[in-house]
Amino acid sequence: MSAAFTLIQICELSGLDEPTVTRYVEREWLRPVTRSKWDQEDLARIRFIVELQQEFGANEEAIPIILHLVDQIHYFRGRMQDLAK
Amino acid sequence: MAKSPYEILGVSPKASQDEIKNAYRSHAKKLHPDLNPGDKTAEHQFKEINAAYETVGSAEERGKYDRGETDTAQAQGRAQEQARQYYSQTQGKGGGGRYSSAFGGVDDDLFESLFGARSGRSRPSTPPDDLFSLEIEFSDAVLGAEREITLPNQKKLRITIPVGIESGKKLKFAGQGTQGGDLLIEIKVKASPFFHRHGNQIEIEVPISLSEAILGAEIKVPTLSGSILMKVPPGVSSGQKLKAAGRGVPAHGHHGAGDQIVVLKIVMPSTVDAEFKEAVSAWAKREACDPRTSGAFAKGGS
Repeated sequence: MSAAFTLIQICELSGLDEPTVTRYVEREWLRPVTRSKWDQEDLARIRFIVELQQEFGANEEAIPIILHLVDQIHYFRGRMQDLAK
Repeated sequence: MAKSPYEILGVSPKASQDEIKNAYRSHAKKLHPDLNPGDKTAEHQFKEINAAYETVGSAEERGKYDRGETDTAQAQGRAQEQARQYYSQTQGKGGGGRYSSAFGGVDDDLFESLFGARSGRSRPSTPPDDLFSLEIEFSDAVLGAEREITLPNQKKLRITIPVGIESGKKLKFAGQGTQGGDLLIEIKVKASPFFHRHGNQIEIEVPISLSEAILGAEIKVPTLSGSILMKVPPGVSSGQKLKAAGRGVPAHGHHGAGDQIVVLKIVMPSTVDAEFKEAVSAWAKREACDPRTSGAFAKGGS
């Protein structure tokens, strides 16, 4: 069972402020189940985004591209695991 | 013998702090678990360079290490403690994360042809999906919206219409189909009588009066997010365009916010009084500017 976080908790845990998180949701970098209910996936993804910006210098144009490609990789890995069964 | 942090990072023991940081960043970019999902070797190496960076990344810690005062086991331990759940871990390992599931349907043929024949046994049949069509308002499609819809089977569902969605796109609700598969909703966007979408731009034709065209004016212009005031410069012609920046399709995905283009259309007054006609007649004799024999039309047509 995954934990549920509120928007405030997500901001505290990620170190981002509410306007920033809201902006990321509007751009669909983040897709929480609802705006007031966030899970572990969302939190890990936010931290990934922050790391891309702060550690790897990715800019706002690059981030959605990177996220898209990484998600595709996960999708394909998942499919390969399914089909290998 | 164990490698020194300098060796692990690939720098000389005399390297500057900046050189050490750049070397760390360069390795981290390649080995980061989120950028190498499922790669155990990369994960191990990533932990190694992190521990190395912990030891010599700051001038203070590096000083300690060079003087032989660092407990490297402790540094390793600290790096482990800071380990958090990486994004990759939420998407893989049978969890089937929400974010990566969004690619359903991509390359199905490729996988079936690669693995279906080889496995030698019948492929497990995937449960069929439900597919419904939903017509949505133009403004909902452009701006995004949350709507409660009722499916043909009377089931109610609260859906989020994504910003900028276009006709033909399907919204997927994994596992919510009535036959055990997914629920797919194909979107059909209603045309708006006034607003037209071209990519990220919204275009609208706005009528202005003859006097506004001649004298200029400030007019109220509708946009999908409310009315705005725009200045019409004096002397505009029909077809001339004004731009309302950022009033088109809002930012979404890789796209920034688009603009609204306002195409002006001069509308003649339905009746004019005799006084006006006389004034225009006199003016025409004075000014005599035939747009068919001068300007772009004269050069192009003939």
